[in-house]
Amino acid sequence: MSTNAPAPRFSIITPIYNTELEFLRSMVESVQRQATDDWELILVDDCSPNTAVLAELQSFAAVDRRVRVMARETNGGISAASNSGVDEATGDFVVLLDHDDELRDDALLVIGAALDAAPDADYLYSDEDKLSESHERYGTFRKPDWSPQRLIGQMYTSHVSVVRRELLTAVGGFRSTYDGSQDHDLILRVTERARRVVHVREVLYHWRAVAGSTAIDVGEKSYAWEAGRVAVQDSVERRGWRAEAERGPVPGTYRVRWDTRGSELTVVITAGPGASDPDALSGTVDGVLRAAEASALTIDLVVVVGDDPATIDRLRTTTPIARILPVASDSTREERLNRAIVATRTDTVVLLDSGAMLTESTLPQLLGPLGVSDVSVVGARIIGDDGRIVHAGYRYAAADYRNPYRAREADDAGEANALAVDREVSAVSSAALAARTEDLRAVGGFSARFTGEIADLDLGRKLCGLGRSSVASASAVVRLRAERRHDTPEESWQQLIGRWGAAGDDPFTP
Amino acid sequence: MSHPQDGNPASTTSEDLGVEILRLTDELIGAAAETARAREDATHAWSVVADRDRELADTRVTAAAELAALRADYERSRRFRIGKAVLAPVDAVKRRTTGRTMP
Repeated sequence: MSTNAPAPRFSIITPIYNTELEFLRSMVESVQRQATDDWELILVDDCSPNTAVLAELQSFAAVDRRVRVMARETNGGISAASNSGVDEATGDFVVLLDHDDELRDDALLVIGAALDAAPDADYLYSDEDKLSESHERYGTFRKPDWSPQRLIGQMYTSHVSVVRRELLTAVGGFRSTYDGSQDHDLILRVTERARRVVHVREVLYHWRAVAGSTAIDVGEKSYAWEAGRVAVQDSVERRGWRAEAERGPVPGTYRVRWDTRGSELTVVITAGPGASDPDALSGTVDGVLRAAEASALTIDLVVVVGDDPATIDRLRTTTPIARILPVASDSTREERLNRAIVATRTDTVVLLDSGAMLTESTLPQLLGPLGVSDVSVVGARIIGDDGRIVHAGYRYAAADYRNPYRAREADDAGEANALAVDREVSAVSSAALAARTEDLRAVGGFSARFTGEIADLDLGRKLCGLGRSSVASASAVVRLRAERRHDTPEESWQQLIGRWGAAGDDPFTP
Repeated sequence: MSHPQDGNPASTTSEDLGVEILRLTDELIGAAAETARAREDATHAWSVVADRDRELADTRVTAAAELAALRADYERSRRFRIGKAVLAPVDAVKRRTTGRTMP
């Protein structure tokens, strides 16, 4: 390449190893069709045994000076080949393109416009779909907006990934030890230092699905799963979290097992208006005490009930350890929760409906993510007596709000395995959540204007306005004996829209 | 009967105050959100007004140009008719006196 020519904006890096020539040509042609010329394509042959591959690559470069070919002298694997390409790159941004995939014809134009609108963006990703062997497109994956917790659990950003070259080099590029999940390892390191991450809500990348490809089934490459776990563990350690990474319930997913021993928190159990089952309340109290002991947590137990003297006396007898917070019997559930928030004396508070049953890991898995800088609230995965999901995060969508996973099987992994990992959501159910007390107070707790699910959604919007996030936990399970009454009259929804405006597409559950 | 761990009247008063602070905080946030939306709506409305103003101005310019062209056409056709009306009697006189019309 002429040293006098200005460097392009984009350096597209493609490591090659024994690629099908037909797919190779399709990939290169998809780059050559780009609506902008501001790119260079660096093809790195990693010693393909089929010599026709290198010959094909060189034929592209012979007629197109934007295409450069590197032939490695020894086979080093995908990370080594990618690094060879990055070392040769001259562009401001590195675009990662796999050897048999394709870019949409205007992908670089769209990416360029997004970067122009966000000059401090260091990492960008887009939506994607799959390309069958017969060249049909299917399996569109509409991704959430930037979700750092979800990235820990799953390499959801995937393709296309665009990284500022300066940052990619600063974090040390790809690491061969993580081959199979080298992208996940790289992007974890990049996003830990990125000033800003941008999501383009358009399908710019077509991922070819062939046998042996992770586009079909991550399980096809089981070594990749373990490599990913190690990458997540590395990230956990870099961030200073007291936690361990383990494989999730589905190949390609991961969970963080939090160590919160010694933490202090307030656990508030609320008997809502009309809820008069003393056994349910006692069951929840006993469960909380057992869970706290198992997890070596110090808890201040608060029970909020109506001011019926008989109920209060009975509670004092059966649960002497608890602080009883009597409230007017006609007070709403949200008023009771607010009174509990005021009475909380610790930095962290857990809110539970009467009837909620915890497992041994519920409390640590709720508390752990609260230690992450911008997480205000963590909602539990709530399972009903019928073994089906009651709640797993809200979706604040156009013309509706949704509890999109209600009535699914308890172990449903969800679309794109969304339910298998901790993930950012618009709001969580207040029937079982953990929160930073300070943040709840900073947003005025639960609004007196709303009740039920509308109140939960409003809280989520307020926290978002504070720059804070709500996380739905995949592993903090709570069983709810009695399903909370859902208050969803149309006028309540209209009041919510009146405050926050009409909802577009949910940024986290599109 | 009260219990040592329960709220005493003094703490109940401070809790009431705390709940009121939460309520006011929520109202402030709600008002700020509604104000922000109203500003966006107003900005959008002003933008629509500005677009319409530009459309009207363009329409005025176009209409003025068309009107001027129409006036010019009218004047030309009026002079032509007047000319013909003036010349017709002259022609008649010329024919009576010379047997020839004006060229």
